[in-house]
Amino acid sequence: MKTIVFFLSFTALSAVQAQNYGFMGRRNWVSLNSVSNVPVLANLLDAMYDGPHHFHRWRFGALNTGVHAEYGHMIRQNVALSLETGLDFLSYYERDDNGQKDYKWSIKCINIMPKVEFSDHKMSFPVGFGHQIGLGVYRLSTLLNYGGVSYKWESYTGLTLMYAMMLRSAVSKNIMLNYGVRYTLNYTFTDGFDDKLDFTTSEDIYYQKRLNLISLQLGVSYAF
Amino acid sequence: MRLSYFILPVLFLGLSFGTSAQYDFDNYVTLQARGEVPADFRIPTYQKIQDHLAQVSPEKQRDIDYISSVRDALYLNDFFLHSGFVVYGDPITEHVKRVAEKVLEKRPELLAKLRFYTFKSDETNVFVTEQGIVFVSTGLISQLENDAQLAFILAHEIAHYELQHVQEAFVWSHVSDENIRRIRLLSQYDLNRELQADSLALDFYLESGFNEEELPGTYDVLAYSYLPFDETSLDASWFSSDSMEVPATVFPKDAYPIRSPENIDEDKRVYLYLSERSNTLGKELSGSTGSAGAVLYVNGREEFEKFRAIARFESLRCQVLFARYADALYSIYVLEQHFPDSGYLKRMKAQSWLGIYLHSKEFKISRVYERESEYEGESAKVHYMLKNMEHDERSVLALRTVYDLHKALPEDDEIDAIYHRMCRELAFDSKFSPADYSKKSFAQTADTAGTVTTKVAEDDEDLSKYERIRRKKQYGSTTSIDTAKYYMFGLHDILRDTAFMNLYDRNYVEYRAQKDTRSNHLSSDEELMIGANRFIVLEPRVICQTTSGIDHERSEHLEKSFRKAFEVASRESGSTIRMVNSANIGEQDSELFNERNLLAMRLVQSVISDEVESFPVDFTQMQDLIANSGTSNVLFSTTAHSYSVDLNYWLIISSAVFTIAAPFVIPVHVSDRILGGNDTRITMVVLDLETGEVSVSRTWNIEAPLTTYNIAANLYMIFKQLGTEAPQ
Repeated sequence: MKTIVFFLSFTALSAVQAQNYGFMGRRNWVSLNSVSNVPVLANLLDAMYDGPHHFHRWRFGALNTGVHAEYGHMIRQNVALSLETGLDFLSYYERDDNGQKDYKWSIKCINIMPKVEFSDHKMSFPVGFGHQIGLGVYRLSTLLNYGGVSYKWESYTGLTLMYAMMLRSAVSKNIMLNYGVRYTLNYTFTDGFDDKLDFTTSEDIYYQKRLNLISLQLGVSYAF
Repeated sequence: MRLSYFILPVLFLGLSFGTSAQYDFDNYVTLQARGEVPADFRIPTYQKIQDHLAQVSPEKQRDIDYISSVRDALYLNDFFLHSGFVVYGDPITEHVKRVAEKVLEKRPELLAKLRFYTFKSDETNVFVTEQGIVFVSTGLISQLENDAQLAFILAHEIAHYELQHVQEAFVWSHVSDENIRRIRLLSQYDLNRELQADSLALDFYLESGFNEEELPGTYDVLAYSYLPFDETSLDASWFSSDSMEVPATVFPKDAYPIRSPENIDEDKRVYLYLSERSNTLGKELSGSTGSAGAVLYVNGREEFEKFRAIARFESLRCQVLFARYADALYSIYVLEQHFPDSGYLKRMKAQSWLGIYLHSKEFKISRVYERESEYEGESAKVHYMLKNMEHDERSVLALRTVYDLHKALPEDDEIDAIYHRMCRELAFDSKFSPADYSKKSFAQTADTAGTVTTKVAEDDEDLSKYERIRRKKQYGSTTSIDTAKYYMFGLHDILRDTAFMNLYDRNYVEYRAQKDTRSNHLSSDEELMIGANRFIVLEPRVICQTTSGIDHERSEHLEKSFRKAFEVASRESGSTIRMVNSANIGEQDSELFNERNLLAMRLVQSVISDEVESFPVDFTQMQDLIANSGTSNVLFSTTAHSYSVDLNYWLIISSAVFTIAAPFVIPVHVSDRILGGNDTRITMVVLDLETGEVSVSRTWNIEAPLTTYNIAANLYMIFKQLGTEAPQ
């Protein structure tokens, strides 16, 4: 990871040219974005088909949300590198086949991701429509709440591949609003995963993480 | 002593009154708006639409078609009001108002509803809008014989307004075939409306005491208004000077006759129904029992002729502006009969010849002599002459004229600028070489020549190829000369003028240097680097397109955002701009309005001239504007914006069929089209007001909503690029 960050930083510095580009000449920015989704479709499918499992449990995914902070730096007129770190919260409810006992799984996920951002227009980047591609790592910890009592579960590590389409719209000479759609493919390392959890729970957590395929993103950037 | 103390102020006042009554035709300045800016020019269009709809019946307020037609008409009217061609409070407008007051002296309530403005055009036109604005062209005034004719034409338009006929042209000048077809399709209805308007106009006309004998003449004015404002015999010697005689052979052998309107091909006829209207009016007049009036002039003949002269000067300016130099030369010739010492006419003559030369150099000469109608009358001789001349011949005549005018008026800044431009353009013309021309005059050469042949162009056809080659080699020799090649001897004194040749040589050295470095092509980005950080910005135009057409109201609001964005971007990028736009114009801002018109006209001139870098027709005013602004770079921008979600349904359906692909392809495609649906194209032109050179002309595409700071971010980049010096 250190190698990647170092490499990206080096590339960024060496590629800076004496040209006039950036948002009003500002080539760096920090962003704070909220990412959220509701697995509406998955919930519907689960309700219709009793979930993909065979243990007669009924699940309901709640609002999944997260907060991401980002530092971006332009290296070309329409290319930027950025580093994003974030905290995502996922949760779902689980009931047994009698519908009596409520389990609430809360998953907290910390991630870090270097990204490349680019646009096919050069005029006012990073303002306007652009694309982001990132590959990062995340670490999630799980918390089970049952009967009003919380139990701390184990932590696991995974990889995230991300593609986002973003529209940045300037609202002042420093501040931009960001909004767009974000696609993530998550892979959780299974070494030790199944050992610590029973199969059903590990599968559920993995499943929930996958439900974040499409998220909406809304945030604000400060250019400097 | 006491007497002189008393007399001097009286004399001074008398003189000053006398002077103010005279119009300075020697230093004519194009018509300027004066006084308070009328509300028509200040109120935003959307406000006018709201005001108009508030006054109509509730049924009309709900009628979508009516609202749409009102909106379109008002936007068209406002576009016209702000086109740069329309002025208020000027002498012509004031005179038209006086005539209208006389026409409606018995109907003051109707007069109170009307506003009158002049639009600067040599076309003969007048029309009224539904809101009561009467536009009168200077071209119309230039054609009239007296105020009575103007009175009837105004009465006709006012009648259209009173009878609630929707905006309609009284005459159509330079109409296209398409318009003629449209008129014909509506012919019965149109003729009825015209006859109704004529009938009511006759009442206005007669009750205000105008001379009814002038009425048939009014129709003649309209019928022949496609011809110049006067028909005076023109001789080729008018183009001659002391140093060069232009032979009569440059003109056609036979004059072009003027046809009667009935003999004009129906498809080419500009005016329709004139004979029907004239006959109907004649019948009404014979049946009229009212007392015959005698009024021909509202303020006397002298006053009328002064205003007509102003209109004629304005027509000349329009011809130069539109690069119709053949028409312009004939207008100068006609006006010189009455104003032989006018400096303005000399300047326009210099501008015209420079323009002719530039168009000839850039192979655009047809624009100079082309005319809508067939060749008719004396003016057609000039068209014929310019069409049949060779480039060398035009070049010599242009240089000869400009040089002579410069000699005669060395202190005149405008002619001096034209002279320098002419010299520079010749130096940069690969087809022109001073060595090709004789340093002896035609007379000197003829004295020593063996033979002098007077050949017209047609005779050359009888010569053999080798005879023609031999003849071409003989210019400047003393064996034989040909009067058809008179121009080869037309520069003899100029070529011996050290000052001219030094100026030419300096420019030529620069031309050679530029030619040598021309191989270093600039990249697309480098072309924008003109090293300029000070601009005059003429109001940015925004066209917001929707699926149902142009959204004028949103366009108007977006223009506000653009104006603010220009200010932000220039401040951030370190550039200085001076914004000239109609939205800032208050009641007392006629000066700003005139500046805006001046810039708009310069843009028009530049667009019309196309690849030819035109000389500013309003040179003196332009120089003042440049001095006040501290820059000659003016920035024009037009932005077209639309938002559409253009989904590819085949992609969606095909990915849905392959259900595995659907969750990936469909959301990506849909969000891509939603987020990337903004299509904005900013076209920006930077024009050098002095040289007419278009330094930058570029279109940028932006995929972002048109908010003030999004626009500013783009403008920032543009300003930064414009401010950078191009690499050598």
